[in-house]
This record gives sequence, structure tokens and C-alpha cells, in this order.
Amino acid sequence: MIRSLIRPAVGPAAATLVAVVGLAAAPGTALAQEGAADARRDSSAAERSPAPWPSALAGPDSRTWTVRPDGPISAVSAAVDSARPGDTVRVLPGRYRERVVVDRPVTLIGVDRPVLDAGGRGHVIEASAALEVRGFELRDTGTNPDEEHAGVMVRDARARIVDNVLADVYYGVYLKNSQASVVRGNRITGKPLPPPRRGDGIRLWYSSGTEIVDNTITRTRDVVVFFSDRLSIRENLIRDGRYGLHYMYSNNNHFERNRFVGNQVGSFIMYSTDITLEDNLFAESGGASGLGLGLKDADSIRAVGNLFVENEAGVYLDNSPRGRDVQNHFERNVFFENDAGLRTLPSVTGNVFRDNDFVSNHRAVEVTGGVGENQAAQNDWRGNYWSDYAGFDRDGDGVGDTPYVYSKLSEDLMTEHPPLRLFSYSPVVPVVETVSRFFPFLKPRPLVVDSAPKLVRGAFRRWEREPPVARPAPSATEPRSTRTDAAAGILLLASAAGAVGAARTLGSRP
Amino acid sequence: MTALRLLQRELRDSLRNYWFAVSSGVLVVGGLLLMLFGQPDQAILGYRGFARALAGLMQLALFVVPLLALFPAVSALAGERELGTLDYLLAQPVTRDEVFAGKWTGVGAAVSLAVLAGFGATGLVAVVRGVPPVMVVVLLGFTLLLGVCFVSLGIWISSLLSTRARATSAGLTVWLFFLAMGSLGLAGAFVGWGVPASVLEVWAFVNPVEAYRLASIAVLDPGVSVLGPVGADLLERLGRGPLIALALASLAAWTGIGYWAGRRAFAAPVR
Amino acid sequence: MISIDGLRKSYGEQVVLDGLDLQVDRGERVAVLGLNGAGKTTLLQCLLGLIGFEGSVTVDGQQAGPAGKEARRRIGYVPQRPPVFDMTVSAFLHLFSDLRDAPVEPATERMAEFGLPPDEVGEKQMSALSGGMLQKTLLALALGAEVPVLLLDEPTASLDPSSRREFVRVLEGVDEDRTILFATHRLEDVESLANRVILIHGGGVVFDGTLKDLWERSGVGGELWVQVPASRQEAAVALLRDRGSVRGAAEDGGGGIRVELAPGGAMDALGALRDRGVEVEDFRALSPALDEVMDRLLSARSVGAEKRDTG
Repeated sequence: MIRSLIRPAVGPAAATLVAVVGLAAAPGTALAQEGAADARRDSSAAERSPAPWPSALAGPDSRTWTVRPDGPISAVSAAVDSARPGDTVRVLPGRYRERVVVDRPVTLIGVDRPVLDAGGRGHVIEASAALEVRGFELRDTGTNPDEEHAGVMVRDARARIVDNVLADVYYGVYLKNSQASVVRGNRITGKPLPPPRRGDGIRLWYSSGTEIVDNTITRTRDVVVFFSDRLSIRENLIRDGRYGLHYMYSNNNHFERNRFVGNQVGSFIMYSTDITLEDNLFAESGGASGLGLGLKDADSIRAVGNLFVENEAGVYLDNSPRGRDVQNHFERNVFFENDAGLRTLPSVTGNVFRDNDFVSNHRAVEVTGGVGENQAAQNDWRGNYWSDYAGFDRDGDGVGDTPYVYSKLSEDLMTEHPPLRLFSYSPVVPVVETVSRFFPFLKPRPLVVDSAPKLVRGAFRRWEREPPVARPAPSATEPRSTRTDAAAGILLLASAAGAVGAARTLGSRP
Repeated sequence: MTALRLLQRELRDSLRNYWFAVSSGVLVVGGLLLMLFGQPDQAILGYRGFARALAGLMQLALFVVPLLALFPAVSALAGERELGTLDYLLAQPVTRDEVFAGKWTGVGAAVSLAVLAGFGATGLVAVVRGVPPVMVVVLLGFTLLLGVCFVSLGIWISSLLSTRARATSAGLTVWLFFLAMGSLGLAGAFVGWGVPASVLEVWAFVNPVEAYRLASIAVLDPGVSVLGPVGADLLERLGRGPLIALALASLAAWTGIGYWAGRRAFAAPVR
Repeated sequence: MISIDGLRKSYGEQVVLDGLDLQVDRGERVAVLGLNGAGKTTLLQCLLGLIGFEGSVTVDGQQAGPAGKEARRRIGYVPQRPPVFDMTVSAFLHLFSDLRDAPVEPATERMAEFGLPPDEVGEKQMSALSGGMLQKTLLALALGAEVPVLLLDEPTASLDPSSRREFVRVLEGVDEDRTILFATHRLEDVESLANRVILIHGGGVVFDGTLKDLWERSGVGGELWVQVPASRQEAAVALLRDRGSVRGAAEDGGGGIRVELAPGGAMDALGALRDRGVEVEDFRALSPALDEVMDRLLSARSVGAEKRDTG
């Protein structure tokens, strides 16, 4: 049992495994991979001249259908069935227990957020034609993993999904071959299932050129992107899921100002290249494989101005970049209060770190798992700020006079023998470090050598003074009881005062 | 009355113990320094890293609290034997069990008061600086248990030895062993001879210092990921609640064993 | 008041007390004598229940022993080496009065009687008191708690002569209905305090009686030192040597004569000198050493035993 766990890189490797297995299990995957090149060519063609929105099809004789619970048309599907391409369906407030199949281009407008309730079966809206949906509450999908029941399931059509509330959904928004779509301003909340049994908040399948903006996605499995390029993913809040944002075989992507909070992994980029991420917040990624940003077989990644805070590991590198001729760049990021700022497999090189601030991480860098020689220090480190740097700057140029060298015997030992991590925070660690200082032959291999460590925090200051994003309010799923806190505070005060008082009284009595 | 008077006397004696005073001072001052300056006033988006601050406090307690408990505890019986006051005390209308219970509760109360005062003061600063009070209180509770556990162990040692010097050096040996040497030896055996990892796992529960650390980390870091694969394995097999409970049970067990064995040893000259 | 029946105590192979019997009535003052290691202290420890033992021991009707809390409540104890608690005298008196459920005032009154007024010594540390003061403090505590029995283990052994005299004087003043049992090997203590002497040897009581009985039984008569005019010295020595009450006499070279007496022989020897007209200018009675008394008694006893065996 234990032995099996001691295999290298158990956490992240297992996570990767899950992701790959998930891919394999996805319907049509084998086919999809075979035809991936074709599909990509197709998709970029579709993006260049995207299919028209339903409203663009409206002609002079187009009409608006009104649905209301007590009206002549009391079901949305009835209105859709009657509509002609380009028509609009207005839905007045009320609860509509039905599943809607959209097989012709229509615009669905909810007035004062009517509720479409699938009653725990099937998709709420299933579209095979251009669709615009706005202003609805879509709820209670089925949970069949084979049919991937979703709040909005779109196949082979373009969709604009705006300002909806998707509650108690298995999958939230599922776009298959849906080029240049828009998913904006939705609030998606998954079913209260254990994470592995949840569906994805948003899932893209060959849906390049899509915009995913300003959504709040809570308690789903992943937001996951397969074979979809040139996406713009901005300003979303993704929390309490497994992989906040997961790229698989998706290139030329950009994501910025998203907030990933309390996920197992903030963002996991696998088998993808040319992805730029800017000004994102990666926070509170917990669990054994809790990562802010994970790269697996990912090339030409540019991470700029992001904040990694209170994660198990801020950034995780596994075989990224893959080749010697490519690099990944990390610039002006803040690694703050992570258990490990950077966690990397031993053989990973080719990453360039410039002007990042490593502040108060339990370990700035950690090499873990994997096989092969530890080459962590051969990544390119220069001009970063290290809060545990102990050197001076006599010439006052803002750069330390001696290189920053991160080398710890305990870290070396733990890398080689991961079970010894059990002794983290144990007094053994300082003992080992002290011993290693007295015996030069025990000198451990450095994990980082930064030849020009900065003495002033840059990126950190920026996040302090003008953060690109605000911290989200605490999630409703974990309410922090102010009453308990207050009680505990009073208890503390009383205990401290009581202890001093009791010691004085009892101690002084003859 | 008897028990209370014995407790009170022991409490008073403990509070006047020099090394007890020194280590309590270290706990209070160290804790406050840690809270005030260890975490410089840095926060981004309200993130302050309280878990790490509390982990620092936990590490401080790990070093100091066993020592703080051992100093008065080891001299409780041995010191009195050395002074020749023990027989006089036992010649009074008291029983040996009463005297033992008085020693234990008295030293225990003194140690608890020191921990409460130290942690209370530090905890208040921590709370003011944004640490959730519930966490501080939970950690405080664990630390009290750690203190009481080492009071039991110390009094057990004290019941076996006849001079303060001998008892103190035995106490320091136990402290060193539990604090670092045992773990270090085990880590060495693991690296050198391939002792199975399950031994590490068992050790983490058996050693009261490690058990305290384990329980505290499980509270501060629900994923216990700092503990690596063995930690992950423990979490997976036990779950977080039972893991904490097991670690605390180990502390409680040592407390009970120390009390029971010490009481037995103290009563032994009678037979 | 104290009833000991078949008391047996051994440390491993070594048997210290072997079937010891002893009855002590209220108000008796019993000196416990014995060679070093004879078990005097062990006897006291058994009474206090500081150690376990076999046999029956009661104090004022209460079972003594490790669990003999009620027996201990009736005993005031003054150990050979007074305990030095790390506290003030006043704290000490309060604590131990409380442990006895007794008010502290009688003890402090006794302290005042003993010349240790609480307002003078109360705030002193126990460690600042002299041995005599400590002994008196322990005694004051015991008397204050109205215990019927006092156990004293070599109470004067560690005191200088003046403290010893003072402590003995204090003990002499103890109310008559208190029972005192004390271990000692000082004849002065026995002479001034005891009205009964027991001698422990070989695990049991080999002698039980008065001091006079003890001397007679032991056959140790003591010594006399006399001074007669120089001209009569030789005659006096010869004269004394002839008396049956005298075992030996010799000039001490300083103008005096040392006379070794049979028990009770002092008056007879002095009378004989006077009758023969030898002027006794000065004389001093020298008490026999207690150790010698015990030696004699114990060797006589073993000789007697041999005789019995052979006879």
C-alpha cells in the first residue's frame, strides 16, 4: 500500500493520468485524434467566416414569440417548434418544467430570469442550430456520464450564451464543434457530487475562437478545452473545482485576469503550445496535488504578472518545455505563501524566470518525483526577488552582490526519498540543515542559482497597490461563521487573562 | 482539600522553577516576535498566509512546550527525594496516590497556564492580524495536550530517579530523542537500510511530538500535502478527522501511560 | 496507643525486623535503642507507613501502613534530618496544618512558646533556619495538630550541644498524655526523656524496661573519678581494689584515681573510702557509654544463649 504510493511524483502524475484517461474515455476520442488535423483546419476556416447569429437571420417577417406560464404558449419548446429561423422567443417569469431542443436558429430571451427546469433528466437546452440564450435560469440536468447532460449542449453550431444562471447542472455549457461562440456572464454551479463524479463547468470540443468571459463557475469538475485554439478566456472566477482551466491539445491561447480559487489545480496546461497567461490569480489550490498552474508537455508558455498565493505548489513543471529549442517564460509573477513556489520534476530545463518575486514560500523551489538527474538549477534564473535571500547590495544597484543559491540538504533528501517529507516542519529539518553546514561534503546540490537576485519587490508591489483583479468574496459553500470566530476570540482573551490571573493568585498564596 | 493543597503547592513550586520560567518566557516572547515580525506586514488581496504563521507558532511550541513541561515535572518527585522532603510529606495524613495526583495536576496546571498565557497572548495578536480564531483555539488545545503529555512523561521519569540532576538529564534525553534524534535515526535507517515507510508512519503517531505536529498540520493544511506521499497515504486511508483523532489519541495515550506508570513506580517502594 | 504484633520487614534477602512485638501505652516515653542498622528507623517508617511490611501495627486503634492515612493523622513526626522545604516558615505551617485539617494557630502559638514568634520567623525561608529551629518548628506543627503520638528519629543527632539541651527541654515540657517514641543512641536523651527503654537487635526487642534495668542487666556499672590526698593515693587504690563493687582502680597519673564500678557500686566505693578515713577531695561520676551498655548486654545475651544451648 505504502510502497505503491512511494512511486515517483504520485500527486501530479496521478492527476495527469486522470486527465489522460478522461480524454480516452471521451466519446469519439480516437476518431477525434485521428482527424484532429482536419478538424483544426476546418475550425479555423469556420472562424474566419463564422456562422451568423440567429438575429442576423431575422427578416421583415420574423416575429417574436412570447411564452408565459398562463399564456397561449406556455412552453418554450412549443414556441421554438413554431418559430422560423431568426425568430425570437421571449420567456416571461415563471417555472417551465421542460427540456428544450433547438433545431433552428433562434434567440431565447428570458425576462426577469425565468426558470427552465429539466427535472433531473437530460439536457436543459440542446441545440444543433445557431442559438442565443440570455437571462435564464437553467437547472437540474440529468447526470448520465455517457450522455454528458448539460445546461446548454451545443453541437455543430455557433452559440451565444449570456447572463444565465446554471444551477445544479451536471455539465454547464458543452460546446462541440461550435466555432467562435461566446459564453459570457453566466453563473454556473455544479451538482453537490464528489469532484470526480461531477461534470465540467464548461467543456469545449473542437470549438476554436470562442470567448469565455466573466463567468462564475463553482463546484464543477473542470473547465476544459480540447482541440480548441485562439480562445479568449478572461475575467472568469473558477472555484472549488478540480482543474480550474484545463487545456488539452489546444494551442495559441490566451487567458487573463481570471481568478482560480480553491481548485485542486488552478490551471493545467497539457500537450499544448503557445499559451499566454497574464494577471491571473491562482489561489488556495489545495490537496496533495494542489497546484496553481501545472504544465505537462507544454511548450512556449508565457506566464506574466500572475499571482500564485497559498497553493500547495505555485507552478508545477512536468516535461515542459519538451524540446531543447523551446522555452517557457515566467515573468513578473508573484509566488507568495505557497508550500512550494515552484515544484518541478528533476529533468525539466528550459524555463526562464525573470523578475518574479518569491515571497514567504515554505520552500521556494522543490524538485520532486520523476527519474533522472536533478537539473533544476539549469533553468535560467535571473533578476528574481527572493524573500529569504541573505546577501547584501553594497553598490546599491538593486541587485544582490552574491548569487541567490537555494540548496538544502533536507530538500535534497526529501527529493530523493519522498516519504521523508513526512518530517516537514519537524525539528529534524533544522537539525539536518545545521549538520550540513558543518560538513561540506554533505553540501547538497543547489536547486536554484539566481546570478542577479533583486533586492526590491516589483511584481509584489504591483499586486499590493493596483491588483489586476480583486479577491473574490468567500464562497457560499464554506461560510465562515463570525459568531464562532467571535466566541473563539473571546475564549482566547479569557484564557490568556485567566491564566495570568490564576498563576498570580495561586502562586502567591502561602 | 488535601488534593487541592498539594496541587496548589506544586503549581507554586513549578511557577518558581527557573527553567520553567525561562522556557515560558521563550514561548511568550518567541510567539509574539513570530507574530509581530516573523510575518512582516505583507498582504496581497487580503492573503496573509496565516497557516504559515501558525505553523511557525506550532514549530515554536514543538521545541519549547515539551521542555517547559519536563523541567518542573522531572524534579517534582526526584527533587523532593533529594531534598529529603518527600518522606516528611508522606508522613502526613495523605496517601501516595494523593501526593502523586497532586504533583501531576499541579505541574499540569502550571504548564497549562504557561501555554494558555503564551499562546493566548500570541493568539490574540494572530487574531488581530487576521488569523481565524477557531484555528488558534484548536492549536491551543493541541498544545495543551502536548504539554500535559510531557508532564506525565516527566513525572514518570521523576518517579524512577532520586536526584534532580539525574532526572533532569534523563528528561533532556527523552526530549532530544522525541524531538529530533529518534526521527533523525529513523530517517537515517530509511535512507540507509531501506526501513519500510510504514515504520515512519507508525513513528509519526507513536512519538508524541510527531503526533502533535501531524494533528496540527492536518488542521492547518487540510490536504497535508507538505507531508508528501506518506502523508497523502495516511489521509487517503484514514481521512482527515480520524487522522487528527488518532494523533491526539496517541498524545492522550502517552499522558495515560506516563501517569499510570509513574503512579505505579511511585507506589512501588511500598511493596 | 501503639500496638505492634509480629512486625516483619525485609529488603530482599536481608531481614531487618523479624516478628517484632511492642505495646506502648498512652503517655509513655519510649527510647528505641539499637546498633546501627538494627532497624530503629525502619520501625518508625513502618509506623508511618513510609514502607510496606508484614504484621499488624496500629496507632491509636488505626491500622498503620502505606494506606494508613488515619494512623498518620495521629502521628507527629520529626525526622533525623529535618526537611528543608522551599518555602517560608509561615507557608510551611499553613500547608502542613491544612494537610492535617488542623488550624494553624495552635502551631504558631507553640512556635512562640519555643522562642520562634511567627512575626519574627514567619517570612523567613525554611532554609534560613538552623537545625534546632527546624526541629522546633516540626515539633510545634505536630503539637499544634494535637497528635497523640510523637515519633522522633534521632531528634538531637544533628544539633549542637546548646540546641540539643534546648530541644530536650522543650520535649520535657510536652503534655503528659502524649506518647513519645524516639530512636536514639544518646544516653543523655534517654536519661532526660525516656521512662522506658527498648533495645532492638536481630529483628526483635531484646530488652524492654527502665534505664536502670538496662544498666543492671548489662552489667555495666560506670566509672568514678576520685581525688584523694597524694599521700593516701596508693592506699586508696589498694582499698578500692578489694571492694566487691569495684572491678578495677588505677591512678590516672594526674593525681586522680579512675574506678571502674560494678553496677550500683558508686556509693559503696565512696562509702568505703570515707569509712577508712581517706578524705575524698573531689569526685565525678562518669556515665557508661550507651554503646558499651548495648555491647555488654548483647554479648552477655549471646553468651547466655550459648550457655543455654550447651547447658
